[in-house]
Amino acid sequence: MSVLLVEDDRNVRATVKSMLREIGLQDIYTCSNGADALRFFEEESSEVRLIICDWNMPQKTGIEFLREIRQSHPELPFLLITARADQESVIAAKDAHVTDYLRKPFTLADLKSRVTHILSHMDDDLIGVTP
Amino acid sequence: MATTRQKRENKEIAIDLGIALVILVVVSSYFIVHDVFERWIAYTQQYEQWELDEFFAIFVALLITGVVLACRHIFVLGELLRDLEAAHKHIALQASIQTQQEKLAALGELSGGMAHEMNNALQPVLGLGELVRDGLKESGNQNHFEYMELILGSAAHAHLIIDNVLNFTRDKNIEMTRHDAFEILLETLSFSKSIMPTMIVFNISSPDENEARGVFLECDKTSLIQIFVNITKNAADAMDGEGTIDISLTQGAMPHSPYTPAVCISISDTGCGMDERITKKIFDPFFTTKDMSEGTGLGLSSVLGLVKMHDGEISLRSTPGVGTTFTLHFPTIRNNT
Ligand SMILES: Nc1ncnc2c1ncn2[C@@H]1O[C@H](COP(=O)(O)OP(=O)(O)O)[C@@H](O)[C@H]1O
Ligand SMILES: [Mg+2]
Repeated sequence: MSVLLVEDDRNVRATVKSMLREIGLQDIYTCSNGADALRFFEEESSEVRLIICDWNMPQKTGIEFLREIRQSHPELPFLLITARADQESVIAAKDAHVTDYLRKPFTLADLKSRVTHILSHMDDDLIGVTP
Repeated sequence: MATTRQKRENKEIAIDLGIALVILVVVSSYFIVHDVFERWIAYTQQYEQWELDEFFAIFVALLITGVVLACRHIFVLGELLRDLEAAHKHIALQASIQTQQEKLAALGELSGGMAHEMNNALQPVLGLGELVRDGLKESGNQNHFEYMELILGSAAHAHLIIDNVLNFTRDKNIEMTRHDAFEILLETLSFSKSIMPTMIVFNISSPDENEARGVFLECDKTSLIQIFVNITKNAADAMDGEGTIDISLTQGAMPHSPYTPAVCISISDTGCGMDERITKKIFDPFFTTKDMSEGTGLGLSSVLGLVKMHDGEISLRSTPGVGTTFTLHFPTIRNNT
């Protein structure tokens, strides 16, 4: 069970990675932009069971990345983490079939409850997260 | 504008001509009457006749007309000047509203981008801070644990400021959902407590809690938190960061519609209070009596917007030197109606 974390801000990337470790997810790949993430995903898509992705990134935004992912993987859990929470952004994310979104800054408890919720809807129970 | 000026000019000229005509008629008829009268006297009493000169009549008529019109024009001029002054004031007011709106628009644009950056920057602090705090608690370093509480409280405050600004520019996601009224209020209040300075005590009483089972509130949880945090933060500031905030939750009705059931939250402090001059302004955006670093003046104007969004009402009573009570009412829904 691997998680792909896409985030352009180095500090935030390291933070969220640590937070994911804290809630029991060990296998975490990170990318710093949507283009890299797409390339990585094309090679390793079978590994990845959850994508956690920032919205605002250079080159390819989170939502563009999500749209491309959705063409081949309509069901793959995709958690958008975003500092933008205006109505239009949320609607755009929903239209692109995001699984869930989390507003930055979020706490460990926020992340844990979201991830647990998403993963409890999956068949596999490969992870050390207790719902 | 040009056409109204033209109309006004035409009107004034018409009035002038009318006045001149009336005076001419009056004066000449007076002279004619006088003439006839004189002739009659001369006829009956054989007096020496006083001949009336037509030119003299016209001269008198013109003189009177001139004086009357001059007086009238002085009066009209005064009126014009008053109008001009009023127009000038109106333009100045419009201009200040315009700049205010431009300021707000600029703030909105700026804050959208800034909020994103700031929220990103706060992620490490708020995401990992709690972990460090809990670790410090376990390791037993009480001082460091308290420092970390301060750091987290401050970061939460920074987040609140960003939220207030975003709220102002409506760049915010609102999700109205139905909750058990007392439960959600107690939950959001206790969250607000968690980011208060430790020297502040919340004394919450909810006498109607049991009775209020099955009473619901349609609300956005984040907004409720924002409302309570802003009000209690002000209360804490008013008490210099130390003291008790009394909060009571009761059932009742909306103040302006006594048949609409409501939940009533009153939040009292024993802080510095405010005089009437200040209470009038506290809901105005950017109004603050605090230092630059402490107040943005956006707290209560956000609160007002959020309360209205929930069809609620807010009022306050304050006595300088004694304290302040804010009272909130939100309409509730019973059972599943
Ligand atoms: N509980 C209170 N006691 C005394 N003054 C208050 C209280 N709440 C608000 N005020 C006054 O209202 C002003 C505006 O409050 P607010 O809109 O929250 O902005 P800010 O807190 O940034 O100044 C404050 O600066 C303060 O003067
Ligand atoms: Mg305030």
